[in-house]
Amino acid sequence: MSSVLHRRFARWWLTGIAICLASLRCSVVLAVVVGFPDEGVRFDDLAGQLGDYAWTAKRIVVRGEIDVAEGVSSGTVEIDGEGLAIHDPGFERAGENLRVGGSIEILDLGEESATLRVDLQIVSGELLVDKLYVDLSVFPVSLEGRVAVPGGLGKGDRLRFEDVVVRIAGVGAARGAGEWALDGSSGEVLGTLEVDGLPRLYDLLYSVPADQRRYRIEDRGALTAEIAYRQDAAGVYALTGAASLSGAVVAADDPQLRLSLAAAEIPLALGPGVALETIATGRIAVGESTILGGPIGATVFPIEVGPSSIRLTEPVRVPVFGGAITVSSFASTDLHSADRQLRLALAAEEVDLSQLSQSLGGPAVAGSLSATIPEIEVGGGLLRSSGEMIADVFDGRVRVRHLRGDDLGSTVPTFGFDVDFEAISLEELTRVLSFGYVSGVANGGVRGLEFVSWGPVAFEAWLETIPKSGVSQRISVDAIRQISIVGGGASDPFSQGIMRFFDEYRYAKLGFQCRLHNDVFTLDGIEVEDGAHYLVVGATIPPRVNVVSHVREISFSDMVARMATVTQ
Amino acid sequence: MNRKSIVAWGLSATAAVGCLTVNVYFPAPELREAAEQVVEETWGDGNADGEEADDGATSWMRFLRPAAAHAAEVDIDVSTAAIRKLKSAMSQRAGQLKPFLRKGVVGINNQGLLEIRTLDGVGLREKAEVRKAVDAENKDRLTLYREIAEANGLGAADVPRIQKIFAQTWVDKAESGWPVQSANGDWGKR
Repeated sequence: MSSVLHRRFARWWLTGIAICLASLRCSVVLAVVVGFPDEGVRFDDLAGQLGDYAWTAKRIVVRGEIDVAEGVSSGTVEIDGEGLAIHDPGFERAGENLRVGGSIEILDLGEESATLRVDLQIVSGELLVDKLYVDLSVFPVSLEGRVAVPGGLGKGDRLRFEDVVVRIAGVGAARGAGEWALDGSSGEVLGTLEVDGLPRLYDLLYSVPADQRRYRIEDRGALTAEIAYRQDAAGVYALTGAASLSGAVVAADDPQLRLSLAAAEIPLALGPGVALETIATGRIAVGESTILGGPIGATVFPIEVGPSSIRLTEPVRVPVFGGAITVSSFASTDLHSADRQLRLALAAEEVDLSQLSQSLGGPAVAGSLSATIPEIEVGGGLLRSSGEMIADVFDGRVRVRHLRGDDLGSTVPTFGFDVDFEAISLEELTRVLSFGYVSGVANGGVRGLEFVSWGPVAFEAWLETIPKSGVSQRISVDAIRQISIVGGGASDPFSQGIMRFFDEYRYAKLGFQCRLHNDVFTLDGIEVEDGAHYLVVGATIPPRVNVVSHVREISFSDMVARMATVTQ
Repeated sequence: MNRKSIVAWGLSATAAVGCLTVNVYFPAPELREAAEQVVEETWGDGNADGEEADDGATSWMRFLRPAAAHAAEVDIDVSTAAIRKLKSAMSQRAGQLKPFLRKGVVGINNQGLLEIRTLDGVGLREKAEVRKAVDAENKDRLTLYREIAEANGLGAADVPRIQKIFAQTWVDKAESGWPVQSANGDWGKR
């Protein structure tokens, strides 16, 4: 992305210099005839062609003096242009309503050469670079430096420039030297970039209204870079050099994410034209930040940059939620193309589930989380992984496997994973979930769990109790009521008869199988008898309570409403 | 009777007695109805029950129609969470894109996608906006076709057929004067 923008900008401002030269040439030719009186000479409705670019000008006023001697002109003129416009044939790059003022010193203007020193300001107008629109009244641009067309205007096909400085108000400046073909096809630029207004740069490049953005850059931050940019006639480009970044803080519109980039030294080697042997090291230092609502400690990531690729040179341990996550084998390739790939390995140790669950807005869940994920691969809109996360929780174990994502980058990115529950204490589980009281031990799992916009859209799940010596299987009246509501029951059988004298009951089995597909939620019991699905099978010793589901299929939104009722 | 003959006879007998019929059916008529529903919900006036509104037939007469009976056999689901979100995004974008279709800046091509036809007479800010909107719309439409295939148990190989059905529906539902591309690639006006 950044390389494409950089290339487009480079081509744009080089073209801008060329149009200024072309405008001047027209003025000079006429000046020899009419001279420049004090009030200046005004030219209206000019038009012309510069390579592939068509340009027009509503009005240009020229003041100053030009000496003509032996066919070579020199002197200084001030110009004031209004309503300037330029565009390529497909309007990929265009400028309109440009208001340009400043001075042009003619160092050498003859049949065989043209060398100028320009100092111009574009104070209003519009720029378009493909889908990037810039309002120049918000981001005024100034341009100064020495430019030349070897071979002379109209004959030469390349623009040479030295000590050129392009400034964007409130954003920063680019300084450079090099040369570029007037048709924009090829060239070379060596220079530096100094950005002292990262939030303004973000505003410039991301033209979405501030209230519709998910992320913002909080501090001013500073970015400096030394860059070399080359492009051949076939469009093969290479951006090389090094960039330093400091003091940038990226924050999301909710408090879950706040990333402080304390300092970064990043070698640049982007584009298909980068030499294959290119390799350089750097580092990214992240200050104390917030991820998933929890604090993470300061961390330094040592990196190595190769041709359009970046990798971690050694594993990095990030303190988080009382434990740590270790990132290793991080590597991203083909960064310059849409086929970019990312691979990494993650390991988590002793992450405090209580801190994590509360940071995510849930109840405190005592336990710890560990993970070994030897490979996460992202590319082509897909995320695939191997390995598993293990949470030792509720006196049992929860395993999460097959973390996956589809249609990443689309309107409907989908994430999913599979879960296994092993020997979970229902007493611990129901205590955390405020679901009444259930004792016993259960196994279960979820297969094919998929989320769209953080809402589940598909899964197959089951849970069943397993007898365990020394562990009673009892269920409270409150829990029966909750299960009854989830299963579609409405009446309260405990309000009358002998049942009202008991607070809890023994059960023989508890469990279910359920499935969500295309918004239809299907709930099956742990036992089926005469078409009745038993969610709770009572113990043989009275008083005996069974919970039976009679409506197997409901819409998932109705099920969510039922769940909301029982969790209130 | 040698062993080969016995095997051949056995296979023939099995084939004759245990005949297996594999029916391959692509629900094109139902998909056309689903496409009409989606296009109405996103780019139309939001009333997707076009079948009931189009001929004014009384309700009992509709039971006699083969198409209606046929449609009832295979129900095409276009209301999964992903499809709902896509439809919502496309519906919100429709108001932004329709003026460009009316001006002839954007047309509907024969792949069921939008295409910029000309940028003459369009300001630079609008040029950027229409480029972004067309890209986003086309991305959503292609995702929509894949999601419909997935939600209805159709394979990836069926996605181009779904896209083709949608392509015709987008053209059929286009407003008069919008640029549309015919199957042979020629551009004209609806």
